[in-house]
Amino acid sequence: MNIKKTIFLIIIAVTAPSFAQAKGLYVVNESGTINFIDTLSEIVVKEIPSGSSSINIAADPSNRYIVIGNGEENEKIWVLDIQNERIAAKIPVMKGKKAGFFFFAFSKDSTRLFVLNRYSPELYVISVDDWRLIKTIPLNLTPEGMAISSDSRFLYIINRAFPALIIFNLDTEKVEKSANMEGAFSSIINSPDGKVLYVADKSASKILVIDAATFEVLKDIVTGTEPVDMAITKDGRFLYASCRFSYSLIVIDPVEMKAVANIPVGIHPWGVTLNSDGTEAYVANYNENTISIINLKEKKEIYRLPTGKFPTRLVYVP
Amino acid sequence: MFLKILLTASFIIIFFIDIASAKALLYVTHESKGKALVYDADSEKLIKNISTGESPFHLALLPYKKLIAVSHKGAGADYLKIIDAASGKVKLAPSIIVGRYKKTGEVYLSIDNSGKKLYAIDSNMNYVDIIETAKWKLTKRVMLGIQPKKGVFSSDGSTLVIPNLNSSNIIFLDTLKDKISRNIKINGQPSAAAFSHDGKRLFILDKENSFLLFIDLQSGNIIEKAVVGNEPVNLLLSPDGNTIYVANYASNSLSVINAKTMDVITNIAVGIQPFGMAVDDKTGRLYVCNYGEASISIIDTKTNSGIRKIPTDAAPTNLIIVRE
Repeated sequence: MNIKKTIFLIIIAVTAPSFAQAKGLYVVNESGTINFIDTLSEIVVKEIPSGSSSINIAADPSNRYIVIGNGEENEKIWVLDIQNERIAAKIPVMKGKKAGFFFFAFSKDSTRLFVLNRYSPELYVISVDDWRLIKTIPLNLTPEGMAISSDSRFLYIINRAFPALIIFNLDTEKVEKSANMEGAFSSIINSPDGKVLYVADKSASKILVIDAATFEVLKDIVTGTEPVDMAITKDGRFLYASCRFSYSLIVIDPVEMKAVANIPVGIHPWGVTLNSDGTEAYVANYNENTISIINLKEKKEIYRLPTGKFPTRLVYVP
Repeated sequence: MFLKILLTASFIIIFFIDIASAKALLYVTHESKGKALVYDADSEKLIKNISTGESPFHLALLPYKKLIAVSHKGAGADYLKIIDAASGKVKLAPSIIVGRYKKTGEVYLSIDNSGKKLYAIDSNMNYVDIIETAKWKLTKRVMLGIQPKKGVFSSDGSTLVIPNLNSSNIIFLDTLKDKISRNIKINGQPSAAAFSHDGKRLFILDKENSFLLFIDLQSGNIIEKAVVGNEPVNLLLSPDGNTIYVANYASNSLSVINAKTMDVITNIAVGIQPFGMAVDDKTGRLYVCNYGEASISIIDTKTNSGIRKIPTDAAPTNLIIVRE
């Protein structure tokens, strides 16, 4: 019995780390790598090539794959198989050298990946099954960010050249609605119930709270200087905004629609993401080559870890 | 006839001299440079360079005497320079007391309503020296909390409120007896204070937790708080009492807050490490020392937007506006 127990414990001890490896934080660095960080043991486990000037990263809803957008000549979207820790596919979108400034949205059933690029007027639709580009839709936009509706029928897109909020209908493949707005937008996110859109205006240092149905601006919330990315808890109770030029993460109460805390982070924070139970936030400090790990209950940074050069965005895989 | 013309002409000349001299001057200390620079606020031109002694820090104006007191690191007894506001010349270097610990010149100066008393709060030594300005002699020294910051007077001048950064308390000094009359503890690092215009409430910055706190003076309770940026170090209430400007030292920004509702109105990006602030109530212009980048930001308080930056020498620390 005792021997059996010991063997069992040994098996657990040996296999546990390999299971734990997949769970954690993935950070993409503009210098062309991604870091995998084990947030439990608080160590940077490894650094994997991700293609030159890689900027954005996203995990599919089933948490089996991570997609990375880079600035390679042809194959600008790389797919990392999380379990097997290898690049499973490289998808050719857009021709020529451009920064990998992509925006990703997965359909909730994990069958489709929708892709925009800051420097492309087109929407790319990718089949997740075989990682194939199945459609290229001309939009004639200059996108700055994208969110997908909870029923996966609409994309909300913020535009740069003419500042606007746009709803794109994925069934009809047409722009359903476009509202011109003032500002220089940097990020968009929707509330978990889908009723509210949050749009960061970096020029005004504000987050606009927008009714997703009517596009009415319900409130603007003052943040730090140049809000650049946002994350929201699953219950929609807290919204977090990283502010590039005030070196801070702002905590917003969406019910009261006001900032409730300011958390200092590193130099030029960019991407922000949360762990699955919303107890920790992770912020990529672009000009410091670090990430800040923040305890959200205490509303304090608890430690900082080194990354590759110029970390941009990050994703947590539960 | 000739006399009449002469008289009129001389009146006109006098009149013009008056207008020309009714200008605003900015006195700016430069901590790393051992000097204060004087700018014409209208032309934004440098007009004077005053040697102050090592590490000049804070300034205060004695309006009736047109004298400016400047704190600096100095040596022993000498940590104050008294400057004639009109000529820009150092008039006096009073010896206050010997044996001062010479780490920095971080001494905050507050002058009471009568101009008879100068309160020099030494942030390194944790005490306030009460100096009689008639003879520039020390009358009393009162021990404070740990790392006290700038003191502010109640409107009737009966109380000087002093935030103590590292002992998390706010000390009230009864200025009639020059005795501590009250002590409010907060959970954080109080770095600056201001009275509300009605005198019933106190604004306190919490540097550690990035908050502007609104404290009811009767109960001593925090009744409201507003989120500001990283390391708020200085605050300024607009002359009409309606708006608060907070300098966020480690966010390179100002938070602008409605003093009545405590709503954050806007965030203004300034230069690196904003610290000293002063507002010209005639023009509505707010001047901010960007300690880390050798510039002064000018903010229009009517629109709450930045106008421009004036380049200056390294480490601009504090400033005051003097109208001639």
